[in-house]
Amino acid sequence: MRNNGNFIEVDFFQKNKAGNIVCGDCFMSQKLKGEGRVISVLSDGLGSGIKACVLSTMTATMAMNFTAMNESILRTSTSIMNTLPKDMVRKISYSTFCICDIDCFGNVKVIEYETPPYYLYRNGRFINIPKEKIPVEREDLDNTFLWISEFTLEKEDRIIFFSDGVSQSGMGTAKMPFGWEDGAKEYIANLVNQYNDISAKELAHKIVNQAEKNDGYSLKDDTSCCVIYMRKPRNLLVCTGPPYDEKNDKYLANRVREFQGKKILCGGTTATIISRELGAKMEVDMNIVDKELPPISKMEGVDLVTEGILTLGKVERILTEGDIDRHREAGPAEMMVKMLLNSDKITLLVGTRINTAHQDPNLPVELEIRRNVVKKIKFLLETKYLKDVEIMYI
Amino acid sequence: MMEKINVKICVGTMCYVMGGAELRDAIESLPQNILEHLNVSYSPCLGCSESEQAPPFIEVNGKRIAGVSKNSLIQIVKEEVRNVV
Ligand code: FES
Repeated sequence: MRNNGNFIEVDFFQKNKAGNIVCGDCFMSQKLKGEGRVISVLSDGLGSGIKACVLSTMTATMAMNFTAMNESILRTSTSIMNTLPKDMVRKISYSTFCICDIDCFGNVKVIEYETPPYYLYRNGRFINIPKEKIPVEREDLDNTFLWISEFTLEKEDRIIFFSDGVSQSGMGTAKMPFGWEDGAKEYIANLVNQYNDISAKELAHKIVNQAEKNDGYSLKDDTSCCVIYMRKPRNLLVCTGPPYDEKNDKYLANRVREFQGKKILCGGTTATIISRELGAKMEVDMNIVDKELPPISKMEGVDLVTEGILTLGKVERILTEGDIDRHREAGPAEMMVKMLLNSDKITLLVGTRINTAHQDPNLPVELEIRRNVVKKIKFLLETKYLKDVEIMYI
Repeated sequence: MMEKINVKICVGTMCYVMGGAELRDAIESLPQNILEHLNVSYSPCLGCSESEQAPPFIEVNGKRIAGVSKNSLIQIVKEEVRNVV
């Protein structure tokens, strides 16, 4: 999501309690495009396993939807508590939540219920934002409170929140008898000092992995961490397909040359046009192989040149499956996926000249229509990966 | 020193799905005494959209040839080599 020219990157990572196949923590994040809002919710259900998973999923879903509808927080929390099924043994219905609601001006509202306090890291230090304490009326539990804090996001700010799997990791060990607690702050500060521009995704991964290490590589609880990072957007241009009108070849080439950010050309004809117009030499690179796809090429001034429709098709499949880490072999499609996911704002410049040969029914495989694949990729990037994507036809 | 024969194989979409994917293997399977006369390169597209002919395309010394198969590629190349040797 863009915000005064800045970008808000939201990402998260979680690992299950050792031996569990589902996670009792639930994280959700949603962009409300029309309002320019980003809402992120993390909930930790009582216990672990399926029961906890159901509790936290219900909580996160309700918290997300109520917040999006601007429902008051008291009604939201009351509704959640009244809806959750009661634990048979403990006779309580319980799950924690942390809601982080950011509007289009960067105003942040964080609402916490029974979670470890969130961190705000700004300019090399952690900032304590005063919190309003609101008692929660409930029959089954005394002394629980909602904590509400508000502030305005500044460039390079990071908001970090997590389940107690993180803060209590390592508990009982000689090194940290009470858990990781403030050690986590130190760990984060060191990391950010070392890698100023560490992405939200990477930081969340690192924190969870470190928590696992604290627990001796066998997590005692479900462990989740969300990081929200406001920074300058990383731009990516993907150019695919020749312009409808040949007169626009030059315009296309100029767009590519002048673009500030990373550049991908996708399609042989497209690449040939750019190479000709810009006088940039192009060479096929047979070193990177993927049995399913034609090879990539190298061109000066362009970060990646791939074949068109087959590669886009595979990119779409990888994005749909979502299991990016499994695709370790670095073929052309994986390279493109990596670049897409490492960008915030993606412009898809789509040429609309139809290659009639592609629609020949005698082809041994069915070639998809470029526009359709591109639209699917846009949809996936926006909804599943929270990217800011625009398509331009030429 | 003899002039080498320039063989350019298209690895673009159309050629690739029409059998071009195999042409690289075909070329590389040729014996050394033929390969040494060749200068093999690859192209992202040899301009199929302006052609009435069927892919896959290759270019031999700048001349475009359509509808090449594994076997015909080997024939064409051997023929060319015979002409120069
Ligand atoms: S794809 Fe081979 S000539 Fe166009």
